[in-house]
Amino acid sequence: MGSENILTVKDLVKEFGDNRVLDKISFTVKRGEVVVIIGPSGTGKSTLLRCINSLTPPDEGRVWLDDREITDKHSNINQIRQDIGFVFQHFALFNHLSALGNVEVGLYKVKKMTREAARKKAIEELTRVGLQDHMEKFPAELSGGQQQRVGIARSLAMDPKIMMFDEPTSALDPELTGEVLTVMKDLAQAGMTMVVVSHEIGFARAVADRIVFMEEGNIVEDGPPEEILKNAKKARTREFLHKITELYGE
Amino acid sequence: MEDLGQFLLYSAIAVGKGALVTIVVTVASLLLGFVLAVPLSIGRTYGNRPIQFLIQLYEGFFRGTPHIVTLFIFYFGLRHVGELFGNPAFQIAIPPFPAAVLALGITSSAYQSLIFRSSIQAISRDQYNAARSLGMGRWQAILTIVFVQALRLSIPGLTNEATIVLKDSPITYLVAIPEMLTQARGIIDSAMGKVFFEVLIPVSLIYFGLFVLSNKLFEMLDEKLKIPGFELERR
Repeated sequence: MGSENILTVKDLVKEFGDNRVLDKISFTVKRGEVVVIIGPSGTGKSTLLRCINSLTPPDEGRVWLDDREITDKHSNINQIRQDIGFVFQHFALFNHLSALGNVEVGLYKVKKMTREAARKKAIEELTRVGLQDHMEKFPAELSGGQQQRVGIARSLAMDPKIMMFDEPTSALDPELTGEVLTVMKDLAQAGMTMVVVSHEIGFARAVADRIVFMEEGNIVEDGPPEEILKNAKKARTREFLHKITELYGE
Repeated sequence: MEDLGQFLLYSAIAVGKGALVTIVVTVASLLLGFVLAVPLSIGRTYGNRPIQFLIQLYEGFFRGTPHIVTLFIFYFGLRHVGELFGNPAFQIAIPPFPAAVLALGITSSAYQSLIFRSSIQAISRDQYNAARSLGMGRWQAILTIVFVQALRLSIPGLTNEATIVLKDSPITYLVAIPEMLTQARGIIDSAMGKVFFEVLIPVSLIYFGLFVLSNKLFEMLDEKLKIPGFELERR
């Protein structure tokens, strides 16, 4: 593997019954790159993200993070997953833990940091996403945008090499979407490698290095935002973009 | 009249001792049930097919047969187990108290397993996935993230189960555990049938008192373990 590519996905296949959700998907992500994946619902975008860190094990194909193969039965998946941050559409916060508890649990349970060191790091990460005043609150006491920022802080605390975002703002209203996107923009500017499944075209235009358009388990188009957004080669891509700009605005 | 005073004192002490035995049998059975139900419910939810099937069989057997039959199997049945293999000398003789706790505890474990399982299923799969995505192993994610929350949700179900075991405990009367009903029967017999309701009504009231007490304890636990903002506020 070239050292430039941090993530390599090769011929990934996933089927649910007769439904081929991923149909031999291959792509790579370079270090520091921000890739936004767009496409109609049910085309396998979320499945792709979940197959990358094996939350959903793929049926065929291989995935490498740097030179470690995630799909190799002999690799320590729990070790590799620490390096892949994952942000969920519905936040998936641990409901019985405070914001602080959510962020520090991985640090002392997985990274085996001392409680004090874990707390210190968790406070830093929550401050980074602007939640220094809400650290003691429980998920049910936070707004959706705050919950998602806790989710981001929880992943960031593990010092991942790459961050995956699975429709991070689609469960949020426009106002709360803004605060989450701001955190993600800061993260991109800080040089984090990111793979984002999202319909936020404005975010993609401003932040993405590449936009990938997926349909029916295939990558239809893959290129820089200006090319995909202005001069998509495929009619299907243009049609989809037209629809979502009508829905979500520019 | 002196005799009556003596009789009342003797009866009160006997019933009091019986109440203590009832409490011990109930609490021991619930604890045994709990310890068994934790792995059972986890295996039933996350285990592979054969494991799930075996646990289903276990739950079905102990929920589907009368508890008194289970008690007789543990106490009388195991003494005769050798005869099944043509070797009457071989017997497993369990004393009354352990036999009673085993029977009630194992029965309770089948019910508690179901209580835990429904709570485990109420915790979103995403939380398990989120735990795994942080690098937690399977067991770590199940125990530290899913099961602790499931336990919290199980408190109302456990409250119910505790009162059921309490009210099942008098069947141990049949293997001569000196619990409250056994004591009551002793008093009735010693008075040669002259008292009946005079004994049974106080005994019923004590059972009711224990029921109220157990409910109260679980309610306090429920309140103590409340997750802020997650549940309806108490009014």
